[in-house]
Amino acid sequence: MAGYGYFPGCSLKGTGVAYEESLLALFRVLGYTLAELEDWNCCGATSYMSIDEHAAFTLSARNLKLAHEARHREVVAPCSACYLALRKTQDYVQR
Amino acid sequence: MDRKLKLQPEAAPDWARQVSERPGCEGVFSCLQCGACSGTCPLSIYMDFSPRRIIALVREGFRKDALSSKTIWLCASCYSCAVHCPRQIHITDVMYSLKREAIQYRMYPARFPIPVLAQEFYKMVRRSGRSSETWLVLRMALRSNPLILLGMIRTGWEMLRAGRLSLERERIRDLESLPRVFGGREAA
Repeated sequence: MAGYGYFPGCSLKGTGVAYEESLLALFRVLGYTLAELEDWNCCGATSYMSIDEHAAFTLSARNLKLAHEARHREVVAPCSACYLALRKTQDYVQR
Repeated sequence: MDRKLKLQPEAAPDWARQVSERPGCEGVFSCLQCGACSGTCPLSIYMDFSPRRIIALVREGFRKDALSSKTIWLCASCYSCAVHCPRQIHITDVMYSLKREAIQYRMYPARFPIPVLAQEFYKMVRRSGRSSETWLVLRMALRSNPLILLGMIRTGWEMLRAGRLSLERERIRDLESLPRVFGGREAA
């Protein structure tokens, strides 16, 4: 069974909890496992970018480091703001 | 006859140049003022200046008007403007850059909750590594305009009943890694 790392983000543990529930159910039906990133932190999106750009990227970098250490080849970030923060950071790190 | 814009004496062309040199803001002087950004922006109807006008204010150097606008705080970072801009201007990044400057010089509109939310969010994540939405919204309201809580009571109660408000105070286990993430930087 194929699996992915899973980055829920703060919203999916709060007001977006319905999204998480339906997403996890869907992935079960599809036959994929989602392994929640161990000890993930805030992705550093919007509110963070508005205060401290550098910290926004280092927050995301910590999450990418955790994913790397857990040997997740790919990480699912269902929240679009989290996805963008992680993707942007990955892009900057790779450059 | 000499005609002057009302705001012209306040214009700071140096500031406009400075902004245009920041990462992500490079394109501002290539703006055509076509208004595609304002047309596609889902929040522009609530803004005091449309995104197109913010770009116009920036490049004419009207610093105070741009930094104290509500617009930059209403931007929800959907990036629709950046996608539609025919000159590929990173308008969302320009908004972020203006927000950071407005926070730094305390020029955001008084009693406006969104910049307060951003600062409370910053503090919360700095302390615990994650944000806890319910507590964050409470702090935002108490530190900007507590009266907005009255309007939230009904929705809040229903969300609580539906299990959509978590009262959990989220935090990461490895709190010691946070100072490294922030590189010993001073709190804003």
